[in-house]
Amino acid sequence: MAKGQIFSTDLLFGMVILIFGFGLMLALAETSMYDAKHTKNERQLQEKTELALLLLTSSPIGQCDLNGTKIPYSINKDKFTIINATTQKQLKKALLLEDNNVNLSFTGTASTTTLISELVRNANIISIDANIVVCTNTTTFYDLNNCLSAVSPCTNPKISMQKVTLTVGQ
Amino acid sequence: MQKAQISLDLILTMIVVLIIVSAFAIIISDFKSNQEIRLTKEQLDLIGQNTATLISTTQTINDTTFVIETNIPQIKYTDINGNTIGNYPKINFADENTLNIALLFNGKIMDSNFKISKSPNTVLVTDSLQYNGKLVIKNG
Repeated sequence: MAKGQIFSTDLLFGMVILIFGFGLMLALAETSMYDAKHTKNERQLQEKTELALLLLTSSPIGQCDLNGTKIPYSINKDKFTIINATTQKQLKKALLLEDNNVNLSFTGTASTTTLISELVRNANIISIDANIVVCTNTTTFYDLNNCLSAVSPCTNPKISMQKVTLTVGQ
Repeated sequence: MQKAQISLDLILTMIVVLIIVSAFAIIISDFKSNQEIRLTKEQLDLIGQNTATLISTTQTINDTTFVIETNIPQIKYTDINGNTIGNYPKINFADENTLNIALLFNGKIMDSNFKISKSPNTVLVTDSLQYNGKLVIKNG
């Protein structure tokens, strides 16, 4: 080491290793924080999707009203006869899903009705399937009662059991 | 080098060590402060989200007259003097489709908004929220 020399090669190496170690520590902390944030986002999206399905099938937004009796987990398909960009936006707003990519459809034995069709290619995606009652404006409580008490599968076109699929991405 | 002389190397090392220790102290203090803010905001957001979900769920019974009482937990945080504080947040409707939840945190208002779906007749009674955390959701 020369007289008056301040920095040795050892010191420089030491500094580089120290900075490298510090950076590694920060990267590990960031990874663990990202994991926590990801779990939180996933939980929130799950709750949001479940709430949207509940609002669609058990509130005045889509629920069947059969002679004054409101049926939980049902959809009156006549409430969704017009499907375009405006109605889809309104439905997303009503389901509190304005900021998400959404795909919403219900499938019967013969057909599939798509209420909202968007490309869902997000980092977090939650999809829920549920069996619901699908009715029309003319369905009565007696139609439901007859179907419930029928021995063979119900074939009344005004009421049926269908599978609703709601996919939400964030 | 003379006897009892302090070398330039030692002085420089001491300065570098002091700088590194001070930098770490500042980083740790800043980290702790940020963690406290995050932890408080997290508690506020969780309570807000749960309350917003509860209010939106009442849409399923919006054609009935109901009174729902729920207990809001205290938000716990450490103030600037290091004391642990527990306070109830303020909860209100910002508009027909937005729930606002706010807390006075170290002299500043920390708040969050959540989207809700509710009947126009659904109201919040928050008279005793600040004292015992009781929030009442009423319809009709």
